[in-house]
Amino acid sequence: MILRPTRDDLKLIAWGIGRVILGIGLIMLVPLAVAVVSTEWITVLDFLVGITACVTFWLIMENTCRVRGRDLTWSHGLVVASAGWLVAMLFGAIPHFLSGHFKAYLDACFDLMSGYTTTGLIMIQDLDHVSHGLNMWRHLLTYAGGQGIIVIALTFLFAGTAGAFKIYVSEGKEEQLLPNVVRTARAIWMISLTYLVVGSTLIYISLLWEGMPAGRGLLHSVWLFMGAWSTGGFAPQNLNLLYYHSLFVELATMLIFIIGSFNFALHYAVWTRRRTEIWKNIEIRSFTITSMIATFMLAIGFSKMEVYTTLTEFFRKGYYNLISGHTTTGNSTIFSTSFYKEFGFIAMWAITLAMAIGASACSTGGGFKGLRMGIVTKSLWGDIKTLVSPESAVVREKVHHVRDIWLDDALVKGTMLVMLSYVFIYAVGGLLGVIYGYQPSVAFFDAASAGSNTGLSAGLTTPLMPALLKVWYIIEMWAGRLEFMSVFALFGMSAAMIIGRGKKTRLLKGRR
Amino acid sequence: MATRREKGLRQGLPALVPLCALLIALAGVLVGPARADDTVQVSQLVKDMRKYDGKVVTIHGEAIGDVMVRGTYAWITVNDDRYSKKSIEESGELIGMSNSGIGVWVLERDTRDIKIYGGYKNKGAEVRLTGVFNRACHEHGGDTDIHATSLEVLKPGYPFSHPFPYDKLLTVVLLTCAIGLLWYWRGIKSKRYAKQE
Amino acid sequence: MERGTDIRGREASRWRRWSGYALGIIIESAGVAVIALLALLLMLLVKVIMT
Repeated sequence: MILRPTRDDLKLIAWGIGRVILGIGLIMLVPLAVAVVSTEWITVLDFLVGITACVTFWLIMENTCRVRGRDLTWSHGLVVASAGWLVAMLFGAIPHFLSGHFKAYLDACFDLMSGYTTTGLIMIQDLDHVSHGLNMWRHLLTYAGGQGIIVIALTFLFAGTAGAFKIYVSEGKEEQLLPNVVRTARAIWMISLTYLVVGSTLIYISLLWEGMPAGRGLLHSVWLFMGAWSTGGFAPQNLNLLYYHSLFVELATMLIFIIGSFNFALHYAVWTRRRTEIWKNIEIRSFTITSMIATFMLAIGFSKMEVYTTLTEFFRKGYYNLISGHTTTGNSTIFSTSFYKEFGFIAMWAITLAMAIGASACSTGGGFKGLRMGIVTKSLWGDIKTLVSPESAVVREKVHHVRDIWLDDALVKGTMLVMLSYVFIYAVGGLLGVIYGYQPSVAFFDAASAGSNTGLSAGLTTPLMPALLKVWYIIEMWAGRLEFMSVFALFGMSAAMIIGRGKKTRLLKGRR
Repeated sequence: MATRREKGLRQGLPALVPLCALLIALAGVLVGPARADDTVQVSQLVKDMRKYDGKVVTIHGEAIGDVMVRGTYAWITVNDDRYSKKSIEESGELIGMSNSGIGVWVLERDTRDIKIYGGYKNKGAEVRLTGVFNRACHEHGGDTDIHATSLEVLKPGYPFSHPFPYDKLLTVVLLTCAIGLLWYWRGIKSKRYAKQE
Repeated sequence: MERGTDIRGREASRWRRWSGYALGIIIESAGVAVIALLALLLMLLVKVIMT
């Protein structure tokens, strides 16, 4: 029996969303500062409009939707996470749209969703003439989005309240690094900020070595780091990584985005006493195996096309883009159309499958996730063993992910449900593309890229693509990033509102 | 088409020269911006990489971004999309794509005439260059690039003039007032609640 | 006396903690290098086989 949520429930959720939007407004202070320093006064105004709009919304929610004496529950948290991302998309798009580089508000929202979900597909036009302030916002979105805008709210706005835990769990990151949730968020920030300093410095040195001027080089190094670490794949120029023509910069970004695609629990384990986690972890093993298989496919494909014949070319054009796809980053060293024209069928599908599988769980990556691949593979292996074992034998499999996890039917069923959901969104996106007349390989490549939050494009994703496809891709990016749990909750709640019984019955119990 | 024009010019030379010159000028106006005969669009190069691979091509566009000097040579990036003629920053039209351009490997001394590179504040220098197009350059790790043999700066770059957006300023002022009012109201509500407890 | 050793102790543990983090970064980078090298070997192998 589905019970209808009450007015208080809706108010609590709206209040929670208000706080998230305040967080967005506060983050906008960073690009505002960059615009001021760069003397880009019109961009400064764009961000002032955005910030004041966010603060206004927050205050309206504070004044109308505050429910005293009640706290957010787990279900509220799920809805705030899923709906909050959508509202954050609407507000975050303000500076984008005001810059004039977007055909329509839908395009600006697409780029926002792409940024928050660390996808990296873009609708922006004339990127090479964009202000430093706007570029700062674009890249910061992926850095902040990677940590989860909700985690930001956790750290700064909800500190101490029990409602914090519920939102964090619904962000698609079920792990707990440390017992206390706010401390977990802070640990994530500590790791990310340390890598920010180390990684940006590494890229900056490479850029200076390669002849980049010092001032812009500094901005580019921070932006490239953010794009890589968050596995977003944004870059400040239209040619993406091809702009730099530099093996060093490619190596640095590749190192950063592979590390960035690792699970945060893994970082914490390796950084503190459990060093051996680096090879024991199921996701590292899964990633190594699947990336080897994909590399093999890629090599076969390239040898047939007779392009990129030397080992260096294979590494810089083939492996770089493959791993960029597998970690769901999206930085690329080639023109988009080259995926279809130069790579050929086998190599292109190697990348599509690598994107679909994706990176590690509880990281900025997308796709099925290595953990699920590991669970499903081990479960299948267990089933095979059961078939060949005597009737009385009990076969149990486990995976090692920071700690040993024994596989039971409920876990495997949940895992398969999520994997199936990913396949569903990739498939619908691909089919829609085919219906609209795009090449099937291209249609499925871009659809998988959107759903796995990768961001590589074979040329389908442009401002001229059909509006329905844009909307579906936004849904793919959003659902894929939230790993469906929050999305299911949101749909469940909406359904409950329409068909639920009981006018005043409380669906979501809270503390009095 | 070039050879036909040349043949026509050679045959009816005395009387037809001014007439042909007029026709060519008219054709140029009707067809679009003046192009040397073998000037090709970068989008064409990217679409048909195999056809142009290893061939000498001429491109004509805006030098954007940065110049990255590496010894005696340097990398520049040249865009030849419609934004290179009229960028969004000078109220140009949105044409449904980001940018179309290519990296050019050129002698560093040839880049010294390019004083301004295109970006948010400036329109970059208009350049025309000729060089070999590489689909997967062996010297540069498979990059799709052009190794330029000659580069000329046709027009220098210039700063964009952005008109001041008074509507945005007004919006900020109005929203700030709204924030002030809402903040005051919030303060009243808190005091009222505190009194109730 | 006690306060002095306490501060030194805290500084020592902070130093230990951050050098632990640095080692963590090195280990993770090494892990990535291993994966990339394995891939390079595989590419080389395929190249040799296919020619």
